[in-house]
Amino acid sequence: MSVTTSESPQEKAYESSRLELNSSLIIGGTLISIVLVIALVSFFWTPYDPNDMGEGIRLGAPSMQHWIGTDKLGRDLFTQLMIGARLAFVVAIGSTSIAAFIGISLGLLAASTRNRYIDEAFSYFFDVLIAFPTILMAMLVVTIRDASISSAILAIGFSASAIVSRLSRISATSILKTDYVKAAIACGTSRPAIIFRHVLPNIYPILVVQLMLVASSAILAEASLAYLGLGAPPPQASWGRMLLEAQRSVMRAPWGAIVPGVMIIAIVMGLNFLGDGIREHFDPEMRNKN
Amino acid sequence: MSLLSVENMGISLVGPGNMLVEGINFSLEKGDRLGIIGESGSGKSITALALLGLLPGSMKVTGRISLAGTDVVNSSERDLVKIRGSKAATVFQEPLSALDPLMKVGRQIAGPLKLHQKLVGEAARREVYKLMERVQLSDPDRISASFPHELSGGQRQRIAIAMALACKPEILIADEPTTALDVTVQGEVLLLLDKLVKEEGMSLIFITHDLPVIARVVSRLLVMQDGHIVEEGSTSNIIESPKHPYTKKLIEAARTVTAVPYVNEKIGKRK
Amino acid sequence: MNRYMIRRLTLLMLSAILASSAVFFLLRLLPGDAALTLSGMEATLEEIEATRRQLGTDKPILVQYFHWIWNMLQGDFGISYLNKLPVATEIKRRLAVTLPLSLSAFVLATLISFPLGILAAVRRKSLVGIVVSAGSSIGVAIPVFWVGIILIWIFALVIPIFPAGGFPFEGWSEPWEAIKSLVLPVITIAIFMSSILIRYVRSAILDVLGQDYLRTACSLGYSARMARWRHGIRNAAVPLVAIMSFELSTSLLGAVVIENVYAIPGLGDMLLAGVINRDLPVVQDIVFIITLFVLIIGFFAELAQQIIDPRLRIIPIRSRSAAGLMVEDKLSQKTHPDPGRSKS
Repeated sequence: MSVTTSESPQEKAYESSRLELNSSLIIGGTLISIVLVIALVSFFWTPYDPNDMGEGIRLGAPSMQHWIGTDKLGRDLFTQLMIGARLAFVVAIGSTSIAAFIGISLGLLAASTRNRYIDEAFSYFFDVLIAFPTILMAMLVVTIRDASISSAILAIGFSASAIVSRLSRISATSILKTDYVKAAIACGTSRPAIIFRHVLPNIYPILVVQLMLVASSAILAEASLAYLGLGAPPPQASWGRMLLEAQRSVMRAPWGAIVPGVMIIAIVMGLNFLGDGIREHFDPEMRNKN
Repeated sequence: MSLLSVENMGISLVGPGNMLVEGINFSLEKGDRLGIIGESGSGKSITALALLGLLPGSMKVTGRISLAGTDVVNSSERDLVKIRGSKAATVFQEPLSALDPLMKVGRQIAGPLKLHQKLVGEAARREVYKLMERVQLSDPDRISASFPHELSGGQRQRIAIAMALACKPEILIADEPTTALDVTVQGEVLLLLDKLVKEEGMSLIFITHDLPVIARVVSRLLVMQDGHIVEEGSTSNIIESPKHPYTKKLIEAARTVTAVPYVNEKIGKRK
Repeated sequence: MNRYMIRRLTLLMLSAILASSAVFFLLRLLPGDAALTLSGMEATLEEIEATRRQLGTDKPILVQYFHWIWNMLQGDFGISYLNKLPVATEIKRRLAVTLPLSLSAFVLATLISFPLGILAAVRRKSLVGIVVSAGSSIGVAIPVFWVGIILIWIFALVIPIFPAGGFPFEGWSEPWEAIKSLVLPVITIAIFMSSILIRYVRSAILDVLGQDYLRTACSLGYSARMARWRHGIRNAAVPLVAIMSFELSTSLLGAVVIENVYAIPGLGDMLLAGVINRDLPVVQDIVFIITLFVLIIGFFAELAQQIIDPRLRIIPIRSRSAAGLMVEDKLSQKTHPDPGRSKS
């Protein structure tokens, strides 16, 4: 159906680089901004000092003094919520960066190698890694090191790098087969130049979308780890751990179990929608599918 | 009454948008052979799809299409199902995607046989073999047990033709049937279509962008450009004395690249 | 086909060995000496040596590794560092809880997500389709344990129908109690999985619906529904098998987290305890078993696909047809990826 031309998708991309907002982008952007604002504000101001050991009533209901109530030690929940937002972003950015760095470089390496065996070995290795579940990987890392933010970020990032590398490899391979790359090679362009000038600009949309999803999975994974008690230890506030602590007293104080959950949903949904929006923006053909 | 009559047909996208195709008028009698020629984007393929109501839901048809007495534009899906296949059957451009990749081709031919001729079992199997013979496929045992990806492009297209024939249609619509095939195979498939249309007494609508391909097979031509018919007439008239500048360009282009040798005589007649 | 089965089996075993060795050596990165920690502060050198010999840590690492594999093949999974009991027996006991949990969740999730996913695809412009799609968009963002907590709150505490957690001590000899304890966990996992699956199923069905061979069938006189029955189902089966295998693996992993929510003494719970207590034999055994399960499920899924789709049999592993790529895509996306993109 589509006519193949030697026109580089870069040229086509220039046409669509004007930012047309579609609904996914708006929803996603709004959700992320809200959480981001909460996280940023927490650096400057929180209703209570996060290190307060709890002067409020234990498990108090939402009130003027404590907007979401207090936890079982009497600490203000809203404060913890705000600080937890920081952690969410740190985990998201950290894991995604690791996944991106390892994944993209290895993927490109595998794609540009002319040795078929190296390529196959890489792909096989990644497939095995992909089959290895993130939670298990995280548990392994936590067993070796201590439960901490860095352990979580490392484990999740490493786990996610497998998917990213596979995607990079596949996309890069298809770009490397196109006519204009062959033309570039014929002109004597060096391999690194080809990668930076032709491959990367054309594959980054797909990668960005995938990385958004990595970020959202990372937040969910960290929340699960924290819930299992394998995440960052106190006093570092984490939504996952807030839920763990709130579970015991969910009958008496449901808000402590509901609100952090809602926050997690908000940021994960936000990232998913952003990813969808970016994908729709770059690939108008796909708009028909949804 | 004509077998097929199209009056002022237009196709557009649902919602605000340009007309993809406009003002199409033509008719087809029994035994007619009509060619629709134009380049990619001229609207010829969607015109063909519209004849059987096969356009996707995102497109809207206006005007009047009367096929064997049925008003295609205003018919319900159920009525359209009645005429598809039995009145007109289509052979598509890309046989690999047009066939079910997971079903043996013998069974794919047997499908329309059961649907239209109510043949099953041994009778169906014999008819499948007969059809395969008619489309010049040798070794029917092996081929009918094969999957589409195990066959060559030419074989696949023959299977598609056999499937269309199995419906015993009055009109055969061929939408660029040879475009995806190797040059050497194109001529064979063309001759095959020519022969079958004659044998079955079918009418033919042949769509292509390649003039030499249909010059021999059809007696009348419609030239389409940008969604409009720019010229029509008998094949010989159009080739010998084209009036519209676009038609002239087509013929010029055809003279320099004639892929199907035996039609050279037709084209070569012109100066 | 045989050559391929052999090749895939060898790859499977290779993957299992690779995974197991990765787990084994990774855990040995742990700083500190297990024997030392276990013997305690007061132990004399001889006692520590004795513990070492007992644990087998006095031998070189590679030897330890082979010992581990060799023993496992014979069913001896080693001794827990913590309680000095054989790991194998405990694993068996736990499997009796975790396996029914995952399998029931798998079945329930399939029953929910397949019809809804198909509905969302076939009627995607209508209200139903949009609601289902929107619902799964939200569902995908919900942490599984949160669903658990909310369900406990509503159905175990506010309206006390089911127990808020735990599993009868007598195990399955009290079948009714056991089932009651598993209802909420199963529903939790199923809800969680369904929201992911619905998107996958929808995407797979949409792909099939857009194929040319359906158009050919319609042009030959089949009604849309007949065309879908005759061609659509079989073609959709290929990605759906991949989805189901992914689903099965996920339900196993979901159980790991959920067991914690509901305080169920299953495999996941044992693993968690092992992690917290640095009980190496437990951790490496369970991780290995789970990984093996995932690999085996994947192997059978691939086999099933090759049976359904003849194209996958001929084309070698790395360069698959579009159908195969789509399938690999699904297999490769773990937690909450977006299945809207079907072909990479």
